[in-house]
Amino acid sequence: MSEPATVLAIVGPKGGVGKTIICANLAIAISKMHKRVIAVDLDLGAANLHAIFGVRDSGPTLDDFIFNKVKHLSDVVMSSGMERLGIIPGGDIPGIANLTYQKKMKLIRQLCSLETDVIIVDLGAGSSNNVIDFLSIARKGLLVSTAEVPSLLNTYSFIKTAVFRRLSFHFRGKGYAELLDLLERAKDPSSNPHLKTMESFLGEVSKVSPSEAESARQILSNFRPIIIVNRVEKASEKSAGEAIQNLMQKYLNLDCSSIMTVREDPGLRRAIARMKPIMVENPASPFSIDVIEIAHRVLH
Amino acid sequence: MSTPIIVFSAEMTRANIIRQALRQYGFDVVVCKAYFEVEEAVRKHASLVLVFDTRWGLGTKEIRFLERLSSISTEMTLIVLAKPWAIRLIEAGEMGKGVCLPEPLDPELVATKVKEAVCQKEKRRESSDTDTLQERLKNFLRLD
Repeated sequence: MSEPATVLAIVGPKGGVGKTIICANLAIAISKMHKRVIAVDLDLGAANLHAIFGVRDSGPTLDDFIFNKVKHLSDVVMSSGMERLGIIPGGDIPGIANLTYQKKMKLIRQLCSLETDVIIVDLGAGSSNNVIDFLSIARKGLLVSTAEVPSLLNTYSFIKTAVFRRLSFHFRGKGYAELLDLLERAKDPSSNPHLKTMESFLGEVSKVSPSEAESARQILSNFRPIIIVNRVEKASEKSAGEAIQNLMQKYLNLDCSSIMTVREDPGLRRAIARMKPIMVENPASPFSIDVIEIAHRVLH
Repeated sequence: MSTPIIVFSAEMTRANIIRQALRQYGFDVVVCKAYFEVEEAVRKHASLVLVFDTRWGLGTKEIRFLERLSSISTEMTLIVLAKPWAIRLIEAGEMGKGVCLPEPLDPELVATKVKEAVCQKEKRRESSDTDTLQERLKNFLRLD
């Protein structure tokens, strides 16, 4: 029995930060490292991953699997035209983003069973429950932001939402209504200043159950996203990731796995206009070099 | 264009040797022959580093001049090239951030010290940028 695939999830809490482009080119970079890769467009209802690859005729899409027109998710994998790299194109049916629990679980099961080495999932923008739940199945989550304040604010808010959701699942599963209530109050620190930081929240949890406080700490220590700051033009923008990391450490008791930057690259726009991934068009471009470095980091 | 390094020497040969060494490290250099040129350059360029060659004379006038420059540009690092006996005089003065390098002239050593000073300043500036951004994010997120 082959090893299960490594799942990487690309998340962009704000639209337009470049996560789909990074996802597509990262998939190519990893395939060039002799890994079999499947890139999955899970931006439900707003699929565009196939366009980055320059694939026009998509054939069956994820929608067909979700609506049971095809039985297996593997039936939807199509060739990217590149060696060792397949694509599962997303669909464009409005409202499909609101998957039922059963459909979501079926999708997750089959996703994790795909016969490949690496699965890269392009998730939709925002912090919907679906996005956060798909992120939770990934071995590594890559949060894409730009250095602009609105994007960074969304990134922090996304991380906070993801962490709270994980804790909520855990406490609910253990039947701790009191801790769920405490968690709910912690979402509103202005009304509950004694719960302003994760550390103070865990202090309150430990008064109810020291073992649950310890479990919560374990959950937090396992959540170590990689933060990618995209479109970096100035040296000062490189520090944007550090600013988020510092806030995560201080207020959420979280550490990033790493912070990486991707440089602004004028060649990228031309590649997109030609519907050719820049990793193919110009593997020596600044963007490509930075994505290759990310590929090495995520695999080791 | 990066902020240039200012080099002062009354002897052009030495100034050019130092300039050459700095350029090999990728620095832009402004060479000054007179004190008033140095002061003008410091005010104009807000340079991070001044290399001041005292081989041809060091007295109270030079030390006071260096102290005045330090007060004009408090963030600038002074790298003073001097004879060993003069270094004690310089270090006793109030020159702010400074490094003294003894004779004979070692252009590689000068360039290395300039590079160290510039790197340290850039690290401090980056750290300050991060702190400012972090404070802004904290305000927006109401984490204060």
